[in-house]
Amino acid sequence: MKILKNCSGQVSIEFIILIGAIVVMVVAVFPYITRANELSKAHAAARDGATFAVGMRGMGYKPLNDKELPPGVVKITKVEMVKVGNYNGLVWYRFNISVYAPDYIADNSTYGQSLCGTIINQALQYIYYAFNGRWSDNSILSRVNTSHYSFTATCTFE
Amino acid sequence: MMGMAILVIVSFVNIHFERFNMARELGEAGEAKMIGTLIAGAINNAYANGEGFQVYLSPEQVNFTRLGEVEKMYGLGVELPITINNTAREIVIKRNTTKTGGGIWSVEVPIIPNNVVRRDPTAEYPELTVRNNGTNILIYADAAHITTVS
Repeated sequence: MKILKNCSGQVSIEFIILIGAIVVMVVAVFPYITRANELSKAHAAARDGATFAVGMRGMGYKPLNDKELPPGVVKITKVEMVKVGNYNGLVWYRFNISVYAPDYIADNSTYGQSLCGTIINQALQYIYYAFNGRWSDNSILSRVNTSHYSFTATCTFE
Repeated sequence: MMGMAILVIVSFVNIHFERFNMARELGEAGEAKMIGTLIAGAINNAYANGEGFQVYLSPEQVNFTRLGEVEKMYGLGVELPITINNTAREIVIKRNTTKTGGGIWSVEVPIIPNNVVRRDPTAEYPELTVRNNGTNILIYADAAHITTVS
């Protein structure tokens, strides 16, 4: 009598092991990926905010009750993310924003502080929006906290 | 795996929209300043060319409806009326970008004369005619569009 083997609906044990291994790997690295994603999102947002601020100030716009800058080319040359330490149980990162501006702006403390203040605030506003999905109620921000990280920013002239 | 893919895609979409909005905000800010420069150019020309000289800026060039439009924009357009400050000799243009996290921004475009007076448009002098009558620089514009302060 001939025995008919029914092979349909079955997978090999190797395939199951492979899929299991992939699932385990994904679950294991997921927290690291979410944190890395959080950092890269903040970095991109800080760069966008700083670029927006420089674009506006470069065109001659000024925030309400702020100093008007003399015309000149203002550019963001670098946005570095530096790990500072811990802040209230969060990992503290600082964005060091390097700015190119003419000497009559960079060397003048009034203009320099005004420009840097706008850049820092706008970078932090964009970070806040990236993580909260809405703009901050505070018009001036000095720090933005997320679920894992705390972000601040500084600005220096090159 | 799916979770990671969603995470990455959502991040890309967020970055894309943020950059799109930022580019639009900057573009509109530049556009607003150009309008200020255009009006300032007309005022300066009317001043420099003496009595009887007039410049007509067509409403197509300075589209106040589009400039101050708020519905189709994510943020807010230019705050109308545009102010011509005679004391400071400048045209002040304000943009309210609080909805897009930018706060209130203003830009000042310098002008030469300090005797600019707004008048309501007439059939003879339609909206956005700038005229030198020998005493003042008259700008014919709706009060909701342009205002002058001493």
